[in-house]
Amino acid sequence: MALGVIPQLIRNLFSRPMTVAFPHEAIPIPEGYRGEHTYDVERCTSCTLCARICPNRAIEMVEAPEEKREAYPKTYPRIDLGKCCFCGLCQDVCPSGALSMTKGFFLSTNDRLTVFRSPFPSDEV
Amino acid sequence: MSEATWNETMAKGSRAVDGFDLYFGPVHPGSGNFGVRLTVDGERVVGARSDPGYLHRGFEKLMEYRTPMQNAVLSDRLCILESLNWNLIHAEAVDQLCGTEIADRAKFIRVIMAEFSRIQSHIIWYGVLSKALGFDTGFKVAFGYRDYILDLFEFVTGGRVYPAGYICPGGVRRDFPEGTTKRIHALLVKLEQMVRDFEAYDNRTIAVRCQGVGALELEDALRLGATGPVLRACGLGADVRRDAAYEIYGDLDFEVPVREEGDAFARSIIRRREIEESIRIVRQAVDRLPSEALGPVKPRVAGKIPEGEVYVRNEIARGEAAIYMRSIGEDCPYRCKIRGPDLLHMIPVLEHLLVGAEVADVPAIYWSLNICPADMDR
Repeated sequence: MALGVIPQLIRNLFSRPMTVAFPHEAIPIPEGYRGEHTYDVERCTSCTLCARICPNRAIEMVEAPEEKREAYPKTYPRIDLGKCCFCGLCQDVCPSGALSMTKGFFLSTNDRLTVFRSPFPSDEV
Repeated sequence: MSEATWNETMAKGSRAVDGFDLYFGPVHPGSGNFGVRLTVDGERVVGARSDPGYLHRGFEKLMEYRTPMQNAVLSDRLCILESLNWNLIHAEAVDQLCGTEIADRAKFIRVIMAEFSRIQSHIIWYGVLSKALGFDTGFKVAFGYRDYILDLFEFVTGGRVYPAGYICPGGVRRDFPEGTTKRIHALLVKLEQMVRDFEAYDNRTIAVRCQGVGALELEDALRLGATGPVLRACGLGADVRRDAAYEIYGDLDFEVPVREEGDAFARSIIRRREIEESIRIVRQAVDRLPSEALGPVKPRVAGKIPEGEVYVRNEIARGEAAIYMRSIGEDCPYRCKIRGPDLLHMIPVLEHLLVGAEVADVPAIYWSLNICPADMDR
């Protein structure tokens, strides 16, 4: 009984490690993973459902900057990834499919402003 | 201290000190986010005082400001170690209030996921108990096997630890993806191997450190409010899954393991047997899983909860958990009282068991109760 660990130790000598040598190789992420959001402003209808369903109030409907207001006259969701809990309710509730979640999980940043995901193309904040 | 008192104290020598306080937690690696203030006399614990509140987040109040779907996401965090079980209790409470009928397939999926959550929680318990007793191999093997279950959770729910309200009011957020049944069968084979591994390893370390330690009499267990494996280790086979069956448990064949000794070793044997029973339950549920596909549950931004009140209780890995929910016909519940099994395990039961124990036995007693500070402090 006391030697119960020994066979396992011997097996371990000849078995493959459970971990992989990240970042050279990685375990594939399954479909349906709730990672970083992707947003298509052209498909968005500004219905505000995503902002209303968000449990952490991480989504705020914002106006476009002055120079883009003609192209985007309504309000659009700006996501604060610092507040987001990645529950995916915004993706499920979105009627037009403008907001969905990707497999992206490299989210750490040194700049706190980059945690905001602007709805407008080529716009930092 | 005045000079006279000082002189008096010094004259008495070491006898002047009746005991001193030893803080076990809340930032101790062996305690989780929870503290116990022990009064020790030499190597013996003469008094224990639990010090809750370190992980308090105010869930009951937060739930009064959120709609049921948002609360489903929040209910993950009630106990991080078995989030799907808490998802299930919350979902059942809302379903009963709203009178929602759940599809058969969703009921089976709920039970399968809740049982995996229970197994996963027991694996964590085995790991931390091993670590607390200085048996590092057990810790590593347990957490290695836990990852297989997390892989399944990631595949089904999209998240490894937090399922984000996968079991939600109205059913489950999405159906099993294609190939899930095959994965579950493969996983069950691995888990059976794990149970055999656990049995092969322990005995020396776990038996020597746990046998006769922290023995709880049945009478005390009932008086102090113990439930779940702690109560079943004292000789009373109470299990909500069997006594007041919910979901599909009434149709499944499983046993409720009971031991008479009441000590830490009995509690550990009970949990190992429970893993085996959970494997049986999952296997039966997967074999009988209805085949018609399930549509995703569309979250509702607004929708009144009908007026009324419910009290739903379930058996989770740590014992009996319940939610009392009251609605006055608004979007959010008016009151949501959460009854976690750990409040009573971590305050009255733990204090009772620690008094008279050796300091070296404190981690064994502490972890044999399989405590979860998150569920207690809420």
